Amino acid sequence: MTRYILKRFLISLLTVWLLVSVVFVLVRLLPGDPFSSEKLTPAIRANLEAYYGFDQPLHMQYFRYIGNLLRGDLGFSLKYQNMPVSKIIADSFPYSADLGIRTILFASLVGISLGVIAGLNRGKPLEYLCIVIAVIGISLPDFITGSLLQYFFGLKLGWFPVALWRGFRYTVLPTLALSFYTIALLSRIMRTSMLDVTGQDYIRTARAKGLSTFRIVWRHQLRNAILPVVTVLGPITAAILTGTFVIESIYAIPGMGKFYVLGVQNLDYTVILGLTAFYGIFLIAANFVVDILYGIIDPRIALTGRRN
Amino acid sequence: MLQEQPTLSPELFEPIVADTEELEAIHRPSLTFWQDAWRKLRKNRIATASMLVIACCVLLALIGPALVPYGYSATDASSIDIPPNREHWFGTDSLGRDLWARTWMGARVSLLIGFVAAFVNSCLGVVIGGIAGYAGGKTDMIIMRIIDILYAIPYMIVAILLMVVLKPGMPSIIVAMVIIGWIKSARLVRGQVLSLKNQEYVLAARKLGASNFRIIFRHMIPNTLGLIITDLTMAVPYAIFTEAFLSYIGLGIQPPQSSWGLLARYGAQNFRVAPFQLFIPAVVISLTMLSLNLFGDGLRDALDPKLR
Repeated sequence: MTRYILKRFLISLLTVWLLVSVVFVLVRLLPGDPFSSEKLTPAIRANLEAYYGFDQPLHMQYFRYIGNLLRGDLGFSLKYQNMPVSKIIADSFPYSADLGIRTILFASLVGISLGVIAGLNRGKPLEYLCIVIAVIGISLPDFITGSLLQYFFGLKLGWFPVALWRGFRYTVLPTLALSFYTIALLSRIMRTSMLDVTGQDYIRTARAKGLSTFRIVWRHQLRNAILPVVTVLGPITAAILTGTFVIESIYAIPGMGKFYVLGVQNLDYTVILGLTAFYGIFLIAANFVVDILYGIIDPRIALTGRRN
Repeated sequence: MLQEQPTLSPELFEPIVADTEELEAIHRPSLTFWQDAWRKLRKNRIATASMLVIACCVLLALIGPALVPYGYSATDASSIDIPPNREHWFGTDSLGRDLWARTWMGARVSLLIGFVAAFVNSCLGVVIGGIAGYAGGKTDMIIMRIIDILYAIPYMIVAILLMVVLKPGMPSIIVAMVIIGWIKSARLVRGQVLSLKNQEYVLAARKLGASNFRIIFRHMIPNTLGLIITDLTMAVPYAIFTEAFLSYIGLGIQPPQSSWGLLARYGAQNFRVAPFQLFIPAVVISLTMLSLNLFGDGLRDALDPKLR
């Protein structure tokens, strides 16, 4: 167990280092520079470059960058004056986290329920309905569901606010838009896994013992069928995270995704760098936790072996 | 009442000659694996319908822009934001460009990117995964460690970063998608090759003195082909989604060129004035992705030897 955790931890660390280095190299390769759009005298320009360390040799910049990163110092935004990137993250992350957690809770509840309903109603119309919902959910890009929900429920019907983030009513549409994909993925996995479990011997034993259907489903089927859901938690986190880029832009939510898209459009190097490093480390950490969780939850997984 | 019994005479009987040739003969035509898969696919109504939708979409992408007398980037200040009518079948956008021409010009770009990116990913995946699985030992270990590390890097973040660095346009998008997109199919192919390698018929071929080349091309590839084709079909909608996503946040195809993501972006910005500008790309993107997903599902069932 310890060996497994250690190995995964090392791989995660290596990945973080690789990602951070790639980010550094790529951003230095960018065409144009952040000061090109402003009218600057050569002296001011040189001062600015010296301030940001752009005048030093590349490897010095790299060590400086890694050192700053380790201290949590991500530099200042090149576009917004006096705005450290770490402050942008600290200010905007709570909004994204709020949206993300709402989405995960809502989508898990709906997705798992749909999957269970489909799995218990094999070959009945209810199963097909659940499958249809799943396929549609996977096929609709979130920027489209986001815009359509905004148009119909925000603009046409006026049931919910069109944009911003100021209370529960404001959270409904973004959460819904972001949930579609996760609901679809979870209900698919849950359905397959329910069908797998239904054929197992212990279900027959439970039935032979005379347990009630509810008890069989609740105590035996569901508990075993829910295991594979853990395997998709990693991809789901990644999907929700990239989903926040567009959903936050569509609904004007001041979260990290919106700043990321803005930073990319403004060529704000330090913001792109800082947020990418943050996103990368966050996702890699999430994958690490999911790996460990999976090892702990399912005793059948040989912890020293590799993933499926 | 008594019935008159017919008199039985030897002439009424005829000896059955046991014709072993006749008994052993195969009456129904024998189907190859691919014929059988094709037959099953055609019997699957949903898959057939999806195939038709995809075919229509490809056809319209090829001839659609030529059906109207407007160029896809020709602006017309006298006809702005006109809803669909007899002259402009899909209406016009806020610069007076014909949306029918733009939609199908965009289809060319989106479909081309989708198919090419998915195809290149699969090819790379087959080669790398195939080498890892077939060679085994150290080669396998090194490739798998590299894959483990790359796998943990968030795909979308790498694509976004690359798009920031590269010149916007179709080749860059494909490069950005391919750079770590091959990992999934490499893992898939490696697993399959690993299990095929130890099959008896491969051992038999080896003992009969078949070369590695022959084993790979006669045994390994035909047996992995079903899996690869299914994977490829499922990768196409994902690639289309990625292109649309990148163009939507302003990093992919740049105007005056056209792509589905770009159309959805302008539609979402302009839906207060002209909601059809959002609906048309939304329907086209969703329908295409839905058909590709459903077709992939059907293909998987048709190519699954266990369901024969």
